[in-house]
Amino acid sequence: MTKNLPATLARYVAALVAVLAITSFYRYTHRFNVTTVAFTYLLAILGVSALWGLAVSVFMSVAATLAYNYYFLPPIGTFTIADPQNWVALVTFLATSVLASDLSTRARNQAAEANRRRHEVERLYRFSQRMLSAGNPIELLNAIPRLIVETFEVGAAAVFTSDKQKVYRSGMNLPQLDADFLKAVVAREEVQIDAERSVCFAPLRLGSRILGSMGISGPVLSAQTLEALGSLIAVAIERAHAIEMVGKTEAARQGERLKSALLDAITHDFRTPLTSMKMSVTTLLSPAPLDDGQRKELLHVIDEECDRLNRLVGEAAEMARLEAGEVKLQLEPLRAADLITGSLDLCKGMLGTRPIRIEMKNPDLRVEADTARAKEVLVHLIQNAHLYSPPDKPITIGAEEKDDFVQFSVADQGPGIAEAELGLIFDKFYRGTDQRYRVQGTGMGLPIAKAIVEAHGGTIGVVSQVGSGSVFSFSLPISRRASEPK
Amino acid sequence: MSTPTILVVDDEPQIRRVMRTTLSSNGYSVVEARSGEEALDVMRAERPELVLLDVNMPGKSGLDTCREIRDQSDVAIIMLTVRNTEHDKVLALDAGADDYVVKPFGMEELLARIRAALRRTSSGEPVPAYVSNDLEIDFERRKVTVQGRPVRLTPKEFELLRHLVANQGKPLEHRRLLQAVWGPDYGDETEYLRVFINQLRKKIEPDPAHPKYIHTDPWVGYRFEPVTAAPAKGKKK
Repeated sequence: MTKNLPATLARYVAALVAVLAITSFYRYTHRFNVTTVAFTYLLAILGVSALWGLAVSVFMSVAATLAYNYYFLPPIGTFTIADPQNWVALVTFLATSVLASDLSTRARNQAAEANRRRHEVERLYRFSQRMLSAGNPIELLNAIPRLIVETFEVGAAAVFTSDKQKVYRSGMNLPQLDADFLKAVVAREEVQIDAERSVCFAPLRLGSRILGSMGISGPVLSAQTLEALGSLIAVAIERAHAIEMVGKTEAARQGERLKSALLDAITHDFRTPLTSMKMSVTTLLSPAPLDDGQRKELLHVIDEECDRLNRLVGEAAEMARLEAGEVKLQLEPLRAADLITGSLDLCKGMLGTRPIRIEMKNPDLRVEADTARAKEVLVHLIQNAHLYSPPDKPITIGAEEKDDFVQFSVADQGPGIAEAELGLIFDKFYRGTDQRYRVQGTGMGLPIAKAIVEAHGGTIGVVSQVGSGSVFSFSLPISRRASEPK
Repeated sequence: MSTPTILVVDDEPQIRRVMRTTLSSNGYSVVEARSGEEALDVMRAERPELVLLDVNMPGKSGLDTCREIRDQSDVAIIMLTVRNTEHDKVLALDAGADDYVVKPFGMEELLARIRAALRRTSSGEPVPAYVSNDLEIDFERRKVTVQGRPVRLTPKEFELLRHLVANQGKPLEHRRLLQAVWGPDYGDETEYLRVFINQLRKKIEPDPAHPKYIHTDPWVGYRFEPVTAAPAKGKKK
């Protein structure tokens, strides 16, 4: 029992004061019945024993017996120890003290125990909730010791996993939570509590399997709590592993799908220009009678198809570099208006007389972007809009602030994209069900734009309505830098 | 015969350009279609002698287009494909194509296959009509009747049947059949025979799974067995 000396002393004094008060009350009122006095003492002792426990009430019983004997039992004013009445009173008082204090202590202990259990269950619940929010197994294992320390208000915690033979700790390596102890717990498969050194251990039990163990230093927890904690952690680890597995399988499947799509695309995209070239060349080499016009036509095809192959190779290489994260972005503050006009300049030859509208409320909006690559994205979207909408319909280009980003949009009034295709057109080598998205023979334009935008931390997307047009939009981080852009 | 008309069906403008130039310099007249749908329209309007059909097209696929053309015409069809697997070839032939060419190909090869596909009843000696109680083949009038119902055969199927019947009772090696029907440049394309024999059996055999007319001689080739009054059962070795 932790002793709070002044408080304890105060209780004894208070008990004594109560005895004195009762004594003087009956002593000076003169109207008393000995039995009433005894009952009053008894009542006070009952109260004290229930409230403050055995020691104070025994002390009070003795004091009350003495006071009762001296002041109220004839001969009044003397201690008549031998009088059996005296003994009866003392025994009654003492018995009451013992019984009442015992009963109330028990009740108090039970309440405290219930409280403590409720508290631990609450903590276990909170702990399990917090564990659920952790992502992959590594993240989870790193987080668990810290979560234990925070939730259970203990000094330090460590978790050991058998499969990786690795210890995860909340802080530095304490000698009482050494890896050897943790390994021993896995072998013994049971909870260990060492109150003296204030450490406790529990196995991470999942059904009949032991996934590892954990140790806690600081206030020891109850065996049930430790057991529950171990199971909770085991379940969480298993769950995280399962989720990771599902993710890996899914990723592998997608990888396979992509690979075969890539192969298909490569066979088609690369063989098509090769076919035109081979046909042209073999015709030129053959003895077939060709006039000058025909010969020139074939040579033109070869020339164009060489360019196309070259473009394909370039785009495939760029895509690969972007995907591998090998592209270093040269970030600088760039006025959104400059980005738009710069991109339009690059498209000038292609656009011809196409009407272009620019919608911008704030001409000073700036983005933090790699100028050349950001232009590449916008140019591609403008090209797209141009290629797939009637030449007299305007293309509308806009830029507006949205949280920490500037959202650019390119809207055309073309035929729109079917909903089923919307999610696919940014996929590498996706081929539209019609020719709409076979841009220049490569399916890589939009995926490249997507990779560039995402490398900037932005997003790219499209909304479209069949019959009325499509709006492609992408976001680039806004620049709040004070310095003037060049 | 006037200059044969060839319909080129490909979604790639460059390939159509080269085809147009090369085929017309070789004396064919060329019509074009950019998609399967367009091809079916052009078929009706132009009545070409041969169709060069790209397998890989957006929209209606080459194979579907091939089937639909086959449903209404016995025009010669050569498919152009980028995939060179047995499976893809069989798919193309199954869809009703007479031949296929794998991209990229040399023009000489394509021209040779065009000539082969256009060649009909090349080895000229007439074959007398074959008549049994459920099968009638009139080679003069190119008519086949199975259990009283007329059956339509594609030119290559008909040619194959003609060779088998002309040599009835004798096993014909794969190579010989291929060269007789497709041309001297052929000989190793056994999958052609497999597909075409299957189609023939489906068309003329009462039970294609247990053929009574067209028999397979393992490791050798195929044999047409005339059925006399009592129908023969199984293979005769």
